[in-house]
Amino acid sequence: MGGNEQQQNRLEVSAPAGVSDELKLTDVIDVKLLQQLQDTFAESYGVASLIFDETGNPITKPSQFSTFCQLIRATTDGMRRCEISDARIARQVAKGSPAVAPCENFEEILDGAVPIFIGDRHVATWGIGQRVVHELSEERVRRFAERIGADPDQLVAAARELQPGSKEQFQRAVAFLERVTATLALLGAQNRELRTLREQLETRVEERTRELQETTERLQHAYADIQARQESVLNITEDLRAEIETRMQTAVELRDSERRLSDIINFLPDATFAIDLDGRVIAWNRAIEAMTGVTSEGLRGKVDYEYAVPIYGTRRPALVDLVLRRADEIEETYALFRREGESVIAEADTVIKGRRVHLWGKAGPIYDHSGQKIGAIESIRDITEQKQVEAERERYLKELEQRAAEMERFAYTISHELRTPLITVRGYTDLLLRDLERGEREQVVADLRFIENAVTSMAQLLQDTLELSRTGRVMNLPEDVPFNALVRAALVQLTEQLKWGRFEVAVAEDFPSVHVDRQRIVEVLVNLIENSIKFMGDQPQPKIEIGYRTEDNEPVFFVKDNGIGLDKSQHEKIFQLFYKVDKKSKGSGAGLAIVKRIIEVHGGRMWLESEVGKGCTVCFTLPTVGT
Amino acid sequence: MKKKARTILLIEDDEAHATLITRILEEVCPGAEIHLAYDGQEALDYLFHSGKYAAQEMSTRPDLVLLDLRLPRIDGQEVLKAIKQSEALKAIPVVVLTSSESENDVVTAYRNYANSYLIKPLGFGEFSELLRELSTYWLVKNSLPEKELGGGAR
Repeated sequence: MGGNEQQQNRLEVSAPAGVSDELKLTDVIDVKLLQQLQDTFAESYGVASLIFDETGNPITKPSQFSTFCQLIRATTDGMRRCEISDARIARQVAKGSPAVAPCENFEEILDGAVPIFIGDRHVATWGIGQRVVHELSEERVRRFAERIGADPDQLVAAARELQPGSKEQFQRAVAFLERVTATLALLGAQNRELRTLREQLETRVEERTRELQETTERLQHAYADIQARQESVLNITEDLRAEIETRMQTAVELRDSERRLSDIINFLPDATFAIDLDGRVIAWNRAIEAMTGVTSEGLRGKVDYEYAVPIYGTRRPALVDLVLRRADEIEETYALFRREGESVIAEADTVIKGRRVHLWGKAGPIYDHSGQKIGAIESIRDITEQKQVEAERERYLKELEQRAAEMERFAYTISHELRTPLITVRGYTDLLLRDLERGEREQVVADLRFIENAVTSMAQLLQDTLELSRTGRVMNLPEDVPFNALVRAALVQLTEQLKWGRFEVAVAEDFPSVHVDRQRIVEVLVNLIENSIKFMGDQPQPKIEIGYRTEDNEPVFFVKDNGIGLDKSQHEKIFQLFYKVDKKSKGSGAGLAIVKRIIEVHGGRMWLESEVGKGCTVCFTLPTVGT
Repeated sequence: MKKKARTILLIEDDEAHATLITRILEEVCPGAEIHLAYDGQEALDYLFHSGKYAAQEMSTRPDLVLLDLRLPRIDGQEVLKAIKQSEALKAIPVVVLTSSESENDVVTAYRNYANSYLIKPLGFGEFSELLRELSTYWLVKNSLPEKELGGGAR
């Protein structure tokens, strides 16, 4: 605690109540103990003593209080004077220091007071007094009593009871009291400090307790959380385990299904392969290995259209790719490209293992169990032979149609051609009978001649018809023959006729060889040369030229004469069956039809180049050796 | 009806048929003058006064033409066309008399304005009957202009 001087200033202002919650004197020392202390002190020093609090209320009961003072205080005036004394003392004590002052009533009587501090606070005052330092004269007492209205006798008697003492003695008592109060103050301060400490401690304990509680709570929460997490981790672990199990099962199933798929694809007779969405080859079956000569091992997992190389000879999108994405420019490279639902179908010409092939292909998507598109599969068929057969069949069909139409024309022509002689025969037989009846012999002979001619011509027709029908059917095996050998053979057959008509025959020197039915082509040449002879007219220098020229890289053979020639309107008709330029000429008119037929059966063409009066050239083509 | 000499131009390349038809016509159409042309060229020469018929008096304008279709040198259809394209001759009835039953021939003939298309029948009796009806119709019952059709009128 600080020095008294410091405390004086402060205590003066803070004397009144307002800090009542602060320590009181009785908090520091028990009232009973305080009373004993006061009583002992008062008795020892022979002074009156009373302790009162900062507001002036007594804390203890008065000790050694003199009757003298009680009598004075019992009067109004005396009391007023006592109060003046008390106030003067109190004012001094309020400054923080002990006070000693003579009584207002009797200056021989000293009063004093000592402040009691707890810490820096003035909490109580210990008052002492009624010490008579000089004897009081009866006279003064009596006068005083009269003045204040007290019983003088009683007061004089009381004055005698007052124990006189020295001023020094009184001051020693005050000094002692000062010690006591200082001890009390120290006690109070310690007590206060203790209390503060305790309070701080309590606060701290409370804080710690709270913190501890909070921490505990947090820990509990954390623990609960950890427990919960642990539980969920356990759950997750369980889920994971189940998931892993499922996946492993799925993986096994997938592997199984892939194996099965692979087995099935391998078993397929068509060349088949499959790719995933990255264009990686995931299947390449035995049939496609056989077709391309490239093994599955060499292709598995390859990307960048590697699979197209053995098929198209180059890296390029194939039908499988058109399943996964559209690409018009690729679609255009295929023949007969079409889509059927999700599938694509097309044909393509390409070269595989050095062989020209015609492929048919179909491709479609592959899905997994969840319906997700995972790739595409393509099957390829080599339909080269089928195509060839088809083309051949087409050709046969066309030929058949041609033949059927020809047959129809043929049948019609025959019926028509037979009709003409039939009309004659029927007409003249009736007429013959009539002429016979009438005995017209000349007429009968004429009738018979007509009938005979008609029958002859019918026979000829039948023979030619037979001949023509044979032409299409009966063929000797074709052989490679030099064309001039055929010309020579024909000319030999016609030696007599040519000699007789003094014909000049010019034959080209250098003919290509032809691949033909030798006998038939000789027949053709004989027929054509005969026609030239027949239609030479009045030509003084009859000439027949047999040769060939090249047109569009193809040899065109011809038999040319300088005879009467034919009008353009007749150029096609002349090849019709039984068509005759001159009805009186020999033969049925079937010759050129047959000749043309023979050439056509060989795969050649025949046509006429002629003008009236400028001779006639019959041209034809034939398969040459090496074509 | 006043009986009057009629001229028939028969264009037929088959000798047997020509003889047969001529003999029948002489029976069923007595008094008719029958002129025979063996091919298309000769027929046109006769009709248009050319070739060996260049002199006007060599040929009489026919009242009826009997025309076979398959003819040497110039085809029957061409002869028909020539007659029907001629203002002077188009009124002359041209009856196609042929052994062809071809639809194509029939169509072409009518396209060329043939007046009738007849197929030569089998048998003398049938042939006689046909020619009798034909000549009765065209030469007796049917009326024809006395003169050539005027060039300016049509």
